[in-house]
Amino acid sequence: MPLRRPAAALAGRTAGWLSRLTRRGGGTAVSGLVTSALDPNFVPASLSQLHSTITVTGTNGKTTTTAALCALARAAGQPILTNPTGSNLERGLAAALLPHVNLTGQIRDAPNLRAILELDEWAFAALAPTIRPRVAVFLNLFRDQLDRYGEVDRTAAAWMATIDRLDPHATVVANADDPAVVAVARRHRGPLVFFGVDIATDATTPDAWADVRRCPICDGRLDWNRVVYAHLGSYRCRSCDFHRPKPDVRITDFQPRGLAGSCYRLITPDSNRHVEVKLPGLYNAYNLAAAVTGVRAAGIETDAGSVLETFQPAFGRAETILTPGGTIVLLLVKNPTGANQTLDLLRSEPKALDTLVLLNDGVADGEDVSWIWDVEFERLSPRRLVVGGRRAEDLALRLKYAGVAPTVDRTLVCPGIGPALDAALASEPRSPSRRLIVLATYTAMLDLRAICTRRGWVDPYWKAAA
Amino acid sequence: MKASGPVLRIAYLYPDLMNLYADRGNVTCLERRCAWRGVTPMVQHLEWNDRLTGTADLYVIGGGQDRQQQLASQGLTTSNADQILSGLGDGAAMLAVCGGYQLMAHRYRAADGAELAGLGVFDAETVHPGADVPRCIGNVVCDWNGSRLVGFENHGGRTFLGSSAMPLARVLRGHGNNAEDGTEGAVAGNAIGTYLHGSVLPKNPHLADQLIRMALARSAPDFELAPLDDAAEWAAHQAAVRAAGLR
Repeated sequence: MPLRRPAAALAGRTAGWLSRLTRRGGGTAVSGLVTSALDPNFVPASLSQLHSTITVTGTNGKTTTTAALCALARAAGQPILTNPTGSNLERGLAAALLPHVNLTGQIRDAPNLRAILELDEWAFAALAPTIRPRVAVFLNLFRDQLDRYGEVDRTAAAWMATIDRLDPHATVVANADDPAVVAVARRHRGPLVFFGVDIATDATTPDAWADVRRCPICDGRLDWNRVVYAHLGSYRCRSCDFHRPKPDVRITDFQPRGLAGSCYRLITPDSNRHVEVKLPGLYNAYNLAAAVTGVRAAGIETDAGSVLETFQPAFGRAETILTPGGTIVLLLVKNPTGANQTLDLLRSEPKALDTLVLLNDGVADGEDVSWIWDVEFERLSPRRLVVGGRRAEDLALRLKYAGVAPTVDRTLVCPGIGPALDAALASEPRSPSRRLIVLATYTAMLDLRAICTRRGWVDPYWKAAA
Repeated sequence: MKASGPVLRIAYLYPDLMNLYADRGNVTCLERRCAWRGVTPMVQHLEWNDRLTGTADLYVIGGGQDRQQQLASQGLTTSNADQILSGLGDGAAMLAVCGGYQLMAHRYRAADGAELAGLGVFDAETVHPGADVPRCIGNVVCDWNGSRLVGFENHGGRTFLGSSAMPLARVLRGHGNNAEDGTEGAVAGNAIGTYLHGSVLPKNPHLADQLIRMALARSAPDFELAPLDDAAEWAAHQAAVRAAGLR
């Protein structure tokens, strides 16, 4: 045992280094995989040496929320350790720990170091009892790649089983607006704090693709007096006492500024200020509220408003890439709720946009592409439109039935990623001031970024994220 | 666009419960393919606790989660069974997908042994072999009377057809009804049951048009469906064939 940990760490690092050397990728997955295989207790044992751990889980927003938590903690001068490339299974945590391990297998500066980790919904259920987070953030629960994650109710049931095994001194941070999350969170025996978004809206029924319609406690009918999007909002059960809890941290007066960002009031128990952030969309308002609530729960004191105003989007999340033919704005879409939010965001832009949509059906994208029929592409009104990826034809068919027609030219269908990118950048005007909006599933985004890297337009993701 | 054609009344059963796998694409598809031919689609959304009113030419139901399927079973058997069964008896058509297909057979036995009653439209029953048995997940290609149907399946239950049931299709790739006997789906009169998502109708336009024809057979027997430009539909069909590893 005393030799096993340093040996496992060394083997993992070597594997990661070889992976980068042979240009197979960032090396994060393989280094963590090797280490965890050789020393299965590596992650919990290493994390237990640290000052504390904050976990972030949920269907959408994990990477952005984790990055915002890190920015807030760093601004307060806290040394942190994180898994920044969205590698959110156990191997990703192992890879994040590796650079901090010394030759004897100990974490350097462990008593001062905080881990801020995003965890896949199922990885959270499996790992949380052993990694013992001080703060556990629950963002939301939406349908995701059903062939990988299964039904939403099953994820909720796995969380239910896990939350009973959390340390009773841990603080649970939960989205007050998501009934599925609140039903889980309120089982926690320890401290519980909520965040939420208060906006005026006429919508009082969840969207058609929403996953929660009935009370998660008693199956009774839920009434919403306000729906923000999907099933998020202010709700109350007709049959039992289940209702939206009062949020401790709230966002009000939300004003979209298209892809450029948003403005709103950020209200905490001891502050109330106007912020202008670079992260666009209501979904990011939730993410930032979650991060602010999380750092407060962790006892980290920081001027959250000013930190958030300079906070930049995470990799692939409204990231911009400069090319000779135009500026790419890269938006990751991977499930109906995220995609519909992204389409809303594009609709808040004043002008029709040149748009490229990429659909792959790899394991990480979901091999089932049915979900595009839950995406309201009817909301899309592009200037030019190119569709690509391994299932470009499915996407083209969805757009046909949505009645989407670009205002200039016809929709171009280019199977593959490179040809689709070239076609999208080939149209006039070819100048850096022209914007190309790219909506892409996970592996399509990685492929697109790899092409941009080869052409020298952008750093590889493991450098960009570091 | 012609507006003088017949009306096609669609009863969309429990979209609030059985909405998991984006099967509402089937309703979108039917609406558009009707409208492109001058047929006026009228869609009634039947929500939980609602009772069907009036008659329908076509009943559509999709797949859902276990708990929602339980609620749908209650709603179907206690409030709407007579209306649907007499509608089908009078010649209406049906498309039932995945969980909806299971509910239109005799019964569904869940992983925990609980039994859900179905309507018995199809002479078939479904057994879930247990939560530890792998689900049937993946791309499907099957043979439908000499042409192909494509889609994506994701189901835990295994459906076995009774002696009077006709399978919809024969599996070429994938699991189909039960991963054992090579059958996929079922046909009973004008009712079609299937495990295919995708959504199934947009990329199988021949199946979509067959349903529209069956649904219009009573009210507009002489109405001919004009051919459409289905190049995009067949391109997506072919992409699904390739995804399943066939050519």
